[in-house]
Amino acid sequence: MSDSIDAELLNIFWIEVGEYLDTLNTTLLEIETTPDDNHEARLREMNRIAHSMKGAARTVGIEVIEKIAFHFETLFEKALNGKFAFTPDACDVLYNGLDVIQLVTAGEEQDETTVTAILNQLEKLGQGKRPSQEIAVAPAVQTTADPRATTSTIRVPMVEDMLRVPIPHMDNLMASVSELLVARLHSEELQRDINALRMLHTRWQREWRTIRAAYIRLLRRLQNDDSDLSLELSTLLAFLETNQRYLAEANRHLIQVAQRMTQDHLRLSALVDEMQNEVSAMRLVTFETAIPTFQRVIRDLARETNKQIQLDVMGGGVALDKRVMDTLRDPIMHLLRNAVDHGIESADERQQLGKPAEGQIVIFAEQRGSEIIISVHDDGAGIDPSIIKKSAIKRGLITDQQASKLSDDDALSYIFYPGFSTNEAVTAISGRGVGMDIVRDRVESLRGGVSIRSLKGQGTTISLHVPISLTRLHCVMLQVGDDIFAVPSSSVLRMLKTKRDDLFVTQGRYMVLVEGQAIPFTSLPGVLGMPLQEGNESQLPHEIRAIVLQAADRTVAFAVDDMEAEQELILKPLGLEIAGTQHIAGAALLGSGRVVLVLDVNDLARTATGMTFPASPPDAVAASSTDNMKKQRPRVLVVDDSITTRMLEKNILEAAGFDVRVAVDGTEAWGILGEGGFDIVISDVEMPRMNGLELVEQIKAHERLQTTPVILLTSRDKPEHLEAGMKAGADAYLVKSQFEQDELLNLVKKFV
Amino acid sequence: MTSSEEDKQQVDWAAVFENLNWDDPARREATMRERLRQRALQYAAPVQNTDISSFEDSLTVLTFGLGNEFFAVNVMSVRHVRKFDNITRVPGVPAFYRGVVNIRGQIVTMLDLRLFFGLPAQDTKLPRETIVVEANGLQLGLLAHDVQDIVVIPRATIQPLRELHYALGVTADRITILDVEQIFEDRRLIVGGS
Repeated sequence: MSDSIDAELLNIFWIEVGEYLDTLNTTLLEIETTPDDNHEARLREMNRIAHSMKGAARTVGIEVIEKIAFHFETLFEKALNGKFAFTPDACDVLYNGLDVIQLVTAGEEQDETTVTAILNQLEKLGQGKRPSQEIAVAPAVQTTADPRATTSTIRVPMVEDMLRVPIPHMDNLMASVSELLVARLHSEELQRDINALRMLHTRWQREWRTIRAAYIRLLRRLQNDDSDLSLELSTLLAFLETNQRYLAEANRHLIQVAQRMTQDHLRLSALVDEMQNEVSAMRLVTFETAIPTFQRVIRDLARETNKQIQLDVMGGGVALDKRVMDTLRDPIMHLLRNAVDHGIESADERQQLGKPAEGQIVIFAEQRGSEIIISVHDDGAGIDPSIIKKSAIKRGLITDQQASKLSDDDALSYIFYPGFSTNEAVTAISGRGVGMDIVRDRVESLRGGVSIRSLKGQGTTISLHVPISLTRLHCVMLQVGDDIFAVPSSSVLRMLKTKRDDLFVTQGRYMVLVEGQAIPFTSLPGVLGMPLQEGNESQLPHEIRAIVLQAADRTVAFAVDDMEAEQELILKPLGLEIAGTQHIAGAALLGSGRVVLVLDVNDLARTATGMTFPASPPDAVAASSTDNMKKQRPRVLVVDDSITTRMLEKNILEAAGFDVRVAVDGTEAWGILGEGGFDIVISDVEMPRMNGLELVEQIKAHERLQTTPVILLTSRDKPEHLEAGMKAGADAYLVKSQFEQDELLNLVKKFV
Repeated sequence: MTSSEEDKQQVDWAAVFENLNWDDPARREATMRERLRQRALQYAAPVQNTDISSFEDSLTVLTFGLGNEFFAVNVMSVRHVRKFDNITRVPGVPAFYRGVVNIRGQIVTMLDLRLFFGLPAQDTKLPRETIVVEANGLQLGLLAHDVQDIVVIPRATIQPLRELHYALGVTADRITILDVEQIFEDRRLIVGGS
């Protein structure tokens, strides 16, 4: 590894850490100043940042930052579990840690004793001890600061005739180009309008010619006849003649305008194309620019874990948007760490298994159509689907019954579930369970997808699919009732016409045979949770048109009303208020100015096959979509400030066929109830902001909601608590310690 | 023109001929000039309420009608007022989001305030106008059947509404003055947000 690459790597690292520091400082301050709020989202965010910072610091070998980040991660995790409170004293220690990182990034000389003391305090905090007040205590034995961390200066790599342009400027430029693309579409439409006008003139001309002979005859007759009437009539006829000349003149102008318009359009078109290519090219980087980072990570990890690993990168010449590359860098690092930590076995183990002692990791980048696919492959131990299933059951994500029906491929997808980790021991490298969900989030934020293939004993391949352009997308248009949606052409496997009788049911799910392969079948409006057209509520027509969509990791056929030809769309961001909507990847403008929604194929396929991730938006349709084809399921609102309880109840109820929404406290629940349509509310008692008793009172005092049954579910089991609950108006009171799945379900079914 | 009783009984032929000649370009221009002059005078006239403090004690709002309701928003939060033709429904969002619309190349989400407040919203005619407002980093289009006027309302005449914390109050003409900032604080507005 050359010095220049090290320097470049460090440069990137300092910028990254700078951003992390900003976020951590502000978020910590927010938490400290509003201790009573629910900070789960903030804590998760901080936890992720600490995790990423730890990894980044390890990559460049700056031990102080790595250690501090490790302590931070531990503390935030504790805080998430409610085992750590952000008291002012505790915050002081955290700020001290941030300050040390700040000093290191500024390249300032470190006082080693202070650093050691701060590290000790962080560690104590992590063990649940109170931090000692004074910092400048006698130095502890171990020395911490890596010499590189304290003495390294930031070296700027050799730069020749280059201009650094802030990314936002580039983004603005890109946005302007996409405006130009819309303008070009408008101009095309204008040309069509002008052509229509010319057609109109041609039609007039044809009609004029057919009566022209009669007109001339009349004119001649009038010249010979000198009755009183002839004067007016000849005036009128002369006017007709003039009119004809006017129209001919207008048409000549129109033709000229049309010609100029076509020329202008061609010039505009060429310029816009050129400009778009130039601007896109400005943002392009080749994949190989990231290779040194990856190699460094593997080398360091291999040394740390005492494994022998060879990293190969193929397709380094593939060019991709800078933003895409930046977004993918972290996910790829996560994948590499996982591959080393969980995938590749130790040299001894490998030899016993008859594998070469040196493990192999291959990163493969390739452009396929309008997609770029980056795969990380290792020839390690692979992932055992049965372990994933067990872990999913243990976490209450699925029931035993569901697990037995779950295919191995579907089971593997659970590793992308937030907080999912099968590795019980927390290692310093990975395995805390944050990671794979970040990978999925990041890739999907680029309208991409993640897929995993793994063979036990032979290795794992994880592929990241991302679109090549962030602004233009070839799409197929789908008609569903009165609505039109777009799906990326790259995800369309084929279009299909089938008969209703050709569908068959396997494990309660509609399937269709496509080229001899059984593929889950569902209706698009059903998955999207849209009301079906009247007349055929549950009946599918005899002739079904369907589109077979290929998501990153599964294939599903969707019934639609009609399909239209492919066209290129200009993508536009949705407002942030609806950007998180499930099944919707974004929006695009048609030439007419009309907005079309672009569907998120990964999301659709997950919903269609009954696998949904949390953070589901309000009216998201969960579980199996075949249910939705039939009838509305009863809606339950679960209110609990503990995520575990929430998820547990949600899963039990969803498995029993309920449509479940969740809220973290009474205030949020009250807001959600405003949407209406809930059949029952299940609430915890002790919660931040508005507690369960207050919520019940408010519900029972509300004109429209008072008939909604409310069950209080709590760990407080004293008679007076029960009485308080009943006084507030609760319909039932269930104590958590006796809480059992069947009991809850029976109780709920009594009311619904 | 004349206004007395006697004149009305007699035909004023001069006026009739004058009227018959209405399309005369010179006359048309004269009429237009007169109209512009009147308007200029109107604008130039001193404002009735010249007291400076009245500006501080009053609120400039844009009023609009939606179904049977009348609302007003502070003009400071208004970004655009537009008519639109096509609205695109978005599946999976709360009912109060009626869809998205292209406003000058930007995609704006349309909020039906009636549904947001839990009021019934049955329209024979869909709202076709929108007031795009911005607050708290959110930009939303408020649906309207008809956008009316910009009016200055003295704060003292605004009747506070205790039960509705989304409104600053009601005017004497029963127009609800919305508190856009307060509305945009509502977490229900963010789909899939924590």
